[in-house]
Amino acid sequence: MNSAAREAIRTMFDGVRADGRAHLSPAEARLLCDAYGIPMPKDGLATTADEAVALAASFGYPVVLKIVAPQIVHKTDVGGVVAGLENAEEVAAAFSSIMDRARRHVPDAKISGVQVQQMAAPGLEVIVGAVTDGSFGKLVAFGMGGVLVEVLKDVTFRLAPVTEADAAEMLGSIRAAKLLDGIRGGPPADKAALVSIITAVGQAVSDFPEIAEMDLNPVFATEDGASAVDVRVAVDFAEREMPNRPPKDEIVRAMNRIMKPDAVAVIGASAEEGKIGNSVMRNLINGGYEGAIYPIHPKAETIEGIKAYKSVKDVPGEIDVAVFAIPAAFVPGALTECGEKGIPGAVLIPSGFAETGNIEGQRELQEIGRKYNIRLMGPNIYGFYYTHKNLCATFCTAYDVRGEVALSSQSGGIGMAIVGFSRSAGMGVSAIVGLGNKSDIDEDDLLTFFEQDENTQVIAQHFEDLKDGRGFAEVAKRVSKTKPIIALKAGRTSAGAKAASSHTGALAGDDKVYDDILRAAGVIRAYTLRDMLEFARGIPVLPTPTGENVVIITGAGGSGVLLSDACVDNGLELMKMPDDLDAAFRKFIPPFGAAGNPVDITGGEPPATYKATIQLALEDERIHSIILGYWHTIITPPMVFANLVVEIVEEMKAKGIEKPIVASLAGDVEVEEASEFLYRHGIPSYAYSTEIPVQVLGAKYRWARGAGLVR
Amino acid sequence: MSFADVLARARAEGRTLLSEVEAKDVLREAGVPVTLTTLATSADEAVTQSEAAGYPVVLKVVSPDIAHKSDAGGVKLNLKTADEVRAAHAAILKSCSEAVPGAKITGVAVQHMAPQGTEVIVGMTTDAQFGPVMMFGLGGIMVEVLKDVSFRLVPLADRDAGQMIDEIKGRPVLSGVRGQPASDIAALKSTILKVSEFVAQHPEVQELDLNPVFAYPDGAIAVDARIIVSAS
Repeated sequence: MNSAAREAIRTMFDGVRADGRAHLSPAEARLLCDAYGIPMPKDGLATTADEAVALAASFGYPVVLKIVAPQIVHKTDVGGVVAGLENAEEVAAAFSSIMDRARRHVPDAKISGVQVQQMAAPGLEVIVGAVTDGSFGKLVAFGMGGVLVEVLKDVTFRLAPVTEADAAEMLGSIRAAKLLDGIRGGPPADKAALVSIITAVGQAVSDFPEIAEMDLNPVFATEDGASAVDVRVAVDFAEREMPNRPPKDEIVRAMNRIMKPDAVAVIGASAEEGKIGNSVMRNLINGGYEGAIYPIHPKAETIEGIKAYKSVKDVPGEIDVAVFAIPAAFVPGALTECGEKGIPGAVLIPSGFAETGNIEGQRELQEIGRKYNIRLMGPNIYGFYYTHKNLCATFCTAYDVRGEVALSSQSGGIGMAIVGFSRSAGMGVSAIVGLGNKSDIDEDDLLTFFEQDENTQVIAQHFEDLKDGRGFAEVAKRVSKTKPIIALKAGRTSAGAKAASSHTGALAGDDKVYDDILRAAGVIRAYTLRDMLEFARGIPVLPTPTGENVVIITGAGGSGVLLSDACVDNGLELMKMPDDLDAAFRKFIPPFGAAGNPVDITGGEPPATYKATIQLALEDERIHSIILGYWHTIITPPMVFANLVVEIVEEMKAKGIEKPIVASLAGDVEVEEASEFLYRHGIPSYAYSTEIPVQVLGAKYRWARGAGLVR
Repeated sequence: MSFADVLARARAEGRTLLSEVEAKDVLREAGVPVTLTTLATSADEAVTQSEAAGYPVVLKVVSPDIAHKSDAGGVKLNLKTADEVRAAHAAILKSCSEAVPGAKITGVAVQHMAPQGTEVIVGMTTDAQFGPVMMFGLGGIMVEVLKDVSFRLVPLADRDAGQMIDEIKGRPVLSGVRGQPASDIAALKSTILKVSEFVAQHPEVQELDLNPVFAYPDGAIAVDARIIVSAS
């Protein structure tokens, strides 16, 4: 857009602001659309029937008439729209009936007149819109139009502005996408024209953030072009508070000191068993932390055998992080002392802040944090673990299974479930972090730290909301290219409860926004706690697939059918078996077995059959991933199966062949031990489930596709 | 004509697809509300029948060889005068014989054009495992794509019909959204139940489609009907 056009729009918005209006008039909306190259049918405002007829004659028939009154937002509801008018008499009659109905239904409406609009060539009806989300900021929406789809909410969202590639991807991600390719042999919709409208809307709301909501509904898409028939623009001139986004290197510097400290102070350290300040001390000591520990206590000389200080300011050396275990009322004072000491991080375990309504108290902490440049974790948290430093800065139980998965949770209960599951499954963990009220440090600070943390390869985060969804999406998009991110978003039904005045706004008021934005950022979404934990455990174990061809090898026909269903549910592609490969598998299986995919080797087969078919699947380059279905038999008992699988996998690995393999084991309780054994040898395996192993493989694929690693 | 007569004639002619006129005859006899449709075998008959039915009218080709009438150019809507009916009659014969060369054209079905209502589909299909099952859904292209339908085993109990209607995702449309009137749910239930009764009585019916049924604030009517019967 040239600067003159931009200036004209700027002036228009200034006028709307001066008038104190919340919506643009049709003429203003048209000005905006014209400036951004969004095609609209010709129109004009008539205040008399004669004017309406004159306008209609100048555009050419048919025309549509619509009431224009600031108080009437849903025009059809009051009979304020009449379409398909073919001649002067019909236009004149429609003009007076619209005016009559509007006066009757909304007696106090200030009616500006009736809009006369050239009728667009009928085509496929779609909606393009934009909305302002509290967390994600400006979002662009695309969906199918019409009453029915409004009910079915078939719509997709992306962060504004959108690129042409994003917009094209949006067209393909609604459920009714195939309508765009033509209906019952009809011509396809002009996708390029739709892409151009979607990107224009994204640009408009990004250039002019006072646009709160924009609704192009309907947009008629024909074979050659698309045109916005009705455009509504809601404005909001209130200043939006900009989220605090420190520069990346600043986040990394502070987070590295907090997460991998050389010296920890415990404010409120206690010798009394059962107190939080005592649990934190014991976990630090018993967890094997090798850095300096400074207990802070008003009177004690030593705590748990370590010299105590009255204040952090009395500690001789540098302190990297202070863990708080004192009542809420004392936190601001102690935090100020941390600031004066130059401590870069505070772990605020105490509760009694925003979660109990003490918003002021929390704001006070934020102000102190900003003043002294202290990053705050919490308040209202269990603390955190960083295993590669043997650091358990928490009042929960100590945790010591090192590995490469970093997990975080907004809630303490979920944090404890993470600890328990990890220990039970033997899942190696690099960090477990409680975020609680997220007064400062939030999910994207953690992503930024884990991105450069050499001990972390996979990140799993539980959250109920994102304070700065846009910041999260931007960081996640970058980080997910190298390290898989799993998100468990809780509260799927309560999001966006605010009343919305536009269609796009109403459509945005559900979980769909999170779903679309997280997916577009390359994040693997888990829908249950168990899924998040299983994905976190399985994804780092599995090698990255290089292609989409999945083969199922099963000893149980029934498992084969269920595993196939699970593949469909999880977006995995069962390889269409080439003839030569089919023949090669058939050599190993009994004549009544079934090759194809699944390869059904049948139940009574000896270990050699499993071994030969698995080896073939590993060796053939056309196959990219393998799903095993095992059936407990006397001929091939569970541990025999498990051992042979590990043996062949290791043999192949020595030859440089590695592919993702997951297994489903059906049988008596011995299959539990066999599954554990297989899992510990790099093959995610599950007893009595045909779904979970395939879900885990599906999650790995979702990540690998997003990171561009699958051909 | 009774169902037995229609069935006998179809079988004698080696047909399994009933014509629209036949299908509507047997459904009307069973108490299912359908638009009155007559068969015209000449342009003059089409005009006479149009005047009897009342303008505007719809003309549709009747041919055992043409299953998808609109695709073959066999449907003309909103005809308001005798001249328009004559022109449409000629156009249908021409485009159908071009679209499906050699098609046997029995004639042209003439019906009064029902005012637009909320489009729904009522159907029945024979499942390999379950036998005859009823289907209900909202009409139109969107639902064809989104497959928003519900199924029940034939015969239906009263409450099945209500549940079928309530189970579809697009159910709020029938309550009236954004200025559109609510549909007559009782009339839809009754239509579903009558069709269920009809197919239960006539196991020869393999497939049945009322698409669309127009639902109004007061009443509902099937505008098109398609029935397939077993070969023997």
